[in-house]
Amino acid sequence: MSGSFFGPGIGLPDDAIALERSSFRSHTNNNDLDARLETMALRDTGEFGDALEEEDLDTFNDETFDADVGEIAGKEFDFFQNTLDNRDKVPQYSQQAAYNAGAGFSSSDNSSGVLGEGRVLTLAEVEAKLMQQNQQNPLAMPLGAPEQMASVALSRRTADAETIAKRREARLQRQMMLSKYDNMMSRHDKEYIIRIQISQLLTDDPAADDFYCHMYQLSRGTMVGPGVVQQPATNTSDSSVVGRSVTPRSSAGTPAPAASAQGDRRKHYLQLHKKHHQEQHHLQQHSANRRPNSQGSSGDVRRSSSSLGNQHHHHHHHLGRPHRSNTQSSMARMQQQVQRIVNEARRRPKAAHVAAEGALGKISVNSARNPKQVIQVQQRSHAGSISQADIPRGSPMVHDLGGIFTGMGDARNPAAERRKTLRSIENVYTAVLRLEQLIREQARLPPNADHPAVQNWLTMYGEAKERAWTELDASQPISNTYPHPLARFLSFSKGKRIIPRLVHHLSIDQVLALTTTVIANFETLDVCRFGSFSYSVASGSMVAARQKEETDLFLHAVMPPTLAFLSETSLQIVNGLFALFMERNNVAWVTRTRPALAFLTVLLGRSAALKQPGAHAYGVPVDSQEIYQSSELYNHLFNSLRGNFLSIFPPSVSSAGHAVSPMEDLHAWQFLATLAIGASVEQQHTLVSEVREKVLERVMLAKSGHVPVDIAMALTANVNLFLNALGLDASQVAT
Amino acid sequence: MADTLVAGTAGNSASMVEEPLDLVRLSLDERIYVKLRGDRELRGRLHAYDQHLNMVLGDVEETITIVEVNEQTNTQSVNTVNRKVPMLFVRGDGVILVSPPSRSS
Repeated sequence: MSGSFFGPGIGLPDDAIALERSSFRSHTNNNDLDARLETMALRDTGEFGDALEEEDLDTFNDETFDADVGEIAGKEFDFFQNTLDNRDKVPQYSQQAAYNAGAGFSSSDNSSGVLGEGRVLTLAEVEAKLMQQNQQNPLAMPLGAPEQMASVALSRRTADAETIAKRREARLQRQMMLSKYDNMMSRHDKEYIIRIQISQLLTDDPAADDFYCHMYQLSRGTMVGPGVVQQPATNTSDSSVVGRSVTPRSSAGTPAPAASAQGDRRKHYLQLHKKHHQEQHHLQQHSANRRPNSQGSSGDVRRSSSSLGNQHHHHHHHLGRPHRSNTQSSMARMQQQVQRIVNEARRRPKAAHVAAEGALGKISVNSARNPKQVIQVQQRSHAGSISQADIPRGSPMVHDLGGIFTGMGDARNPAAERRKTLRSIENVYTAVLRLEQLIREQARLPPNADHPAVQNWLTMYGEAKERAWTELDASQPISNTYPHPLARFLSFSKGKRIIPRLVHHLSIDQVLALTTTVIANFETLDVCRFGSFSYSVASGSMVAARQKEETDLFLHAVMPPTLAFLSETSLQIVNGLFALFMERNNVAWVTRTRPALAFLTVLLGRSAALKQPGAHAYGVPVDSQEIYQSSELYNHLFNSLRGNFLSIFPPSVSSAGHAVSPMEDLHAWQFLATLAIGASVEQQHTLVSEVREKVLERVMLAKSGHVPVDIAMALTANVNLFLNALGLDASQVAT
Repeated sequence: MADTLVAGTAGNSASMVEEPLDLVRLSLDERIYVKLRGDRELRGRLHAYDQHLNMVLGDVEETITIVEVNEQTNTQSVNTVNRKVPMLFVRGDGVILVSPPSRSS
């Protein structure tokens, strides 16, 4: 079947089978291309009407994408008519060539003819034929173009009238070449195609479907473009990806079109910003403002968009008439279209199943979000679950941070214990994600408090919080299993990471309970057990790196939220925690570790602040009883550390023979400084005498000139932390 | 996203594994060993996965095993090629198995 450019094949359905059918039908007519074209143009698409009746046999392209069936079916795009109409828009030359090509088809002997063999010519073959035609043609444009362009570039310097004319001629020809195939599609066609494509991007719940893209953009502080991702609806669509990221960890499965569409829009936005075209900014800004309270972090978005608004008011009346190039106006048009389509689709939500009245059963409507399932899988049947008894005994896990928890936990089955802990971590994550989603939805609730939706929300929120708290299992009695489930929870880095996010939702009591448990089991935390190991491990090894990572993570993720509330509690609670810490943990041993030192620093600092005259917490003045208790505790701490003060410093040369950087002891100096603040004169003496060598060593190192200046200054600053607390200074040290 | 997952796990006890993919979920953010088609193996940290077992792995070390048969001497030699990739997306199509890393590595 012929595939000549403006030949008869175009108006018929695309796939080969239907083409064959219709070509067979129309085979009877004359072979003269021109006559056929004429008759087609004059006839009222009667022939196509026949073809269309056959449509029910061809169900491949039944997806109508929300367009009215009548709109699609009745009017096939008439390519030939369209080109007849637009003939004057196409440069004369190419029209001539095309006509020759068209005529050449029937006359050239190696073409298959219009209806010759019933073979569809591929685009390549058609182009080849065109090339042949052009070669025969006196104006051998396609071949000569590159040479011509080169010569134009060279001759740009001379400004003769002749060369000007020649250059203009060349430019025109280049332009004609490029636009030879323009205007094949009408505006209606383009909009149709765009509508199809955009409708694929529409989602019921953009917050769920494009979650990671959203989060990524929000975390980078960029604006989300207008269009497909507007306000999230209440129903969720099923998502495939499980993964956690706001941070660089990216996810698999973010829908490519949406993400790239937004990315393109954003890029485009940035380009425009540089060119200062306020029209576009206005459009972007308007549509950005139209996403009022979508996600919980809409605050950021609004902030950025309003700042943009301020900028643009400067440019607003910059020019009387907006200055637009083609791309920008088409972008604008596309955005308007997208808006229109989105509103359309939102008006008419399509369901996954269609059930006609009086019919028995449902028909599923397949779409991108609801594809046809090849296998029917029943969700969540318990038939295949694994129970505890079936798990065989496994050997201890590797990669557990230098053998910290080897053989611990339930002695019968450490692997099962590990999996149980991982499972509870995942459950906490699920609950926290649910909480965060609820918080995001909270912004869209109606303002009056007794609305049923609000009640519902409150119930759901409370439930999720409960779930998170029980999963965390922080209040389990201390001596049940060793190590405590919370300690095991925190032995994983993902466990440490979820704590700040979880604490955000917990009540003060719950945070206090959590902190208490952490303190009571401080010794058993993995970060503390490192203390005895870390200096026997080679400093470059993976285990050492992981240990350091875990310790840092603990200090940054777990400690701040749990201790933040301390700054507002009474001295009584501080004392209680302090006492618990010293009672449950071997102080001398645990102070070798950074987390313990950091913790003690905070506690000491807080109690010192509260002991000052005039201090009060919660508006209640501090009880003298509590002050007394606090001093007792302090003394107790001091005594237990007496003789061991030097040990809190990391060794300058680790037992594996690697030198430890002199900067590593900041935490130790901080602790000593805090200790010194509350010390009596006698205690200060003790302190100084014990750490004197260390102080001297550091000061000497700083002054010796062996280290670069900034490090020396940092060293001195560290030592001064301690010395200043005593009322001394590093410069006073005699060298 | 998380919502359907939550709906399913709402009332679960902690020790029941519901479906095999839940076990993969337990290994999130942990180092894992993945065996792929084409005699390839990956060891890396699992950042994300989905039901097709498309995965995003970080700090990955890929090992390709090549068996070269020498025609003349009728012997074969087994070689491995290693490469390290900081961040990798694996198409689930080619995944054969996923497991915690084996003791020997």
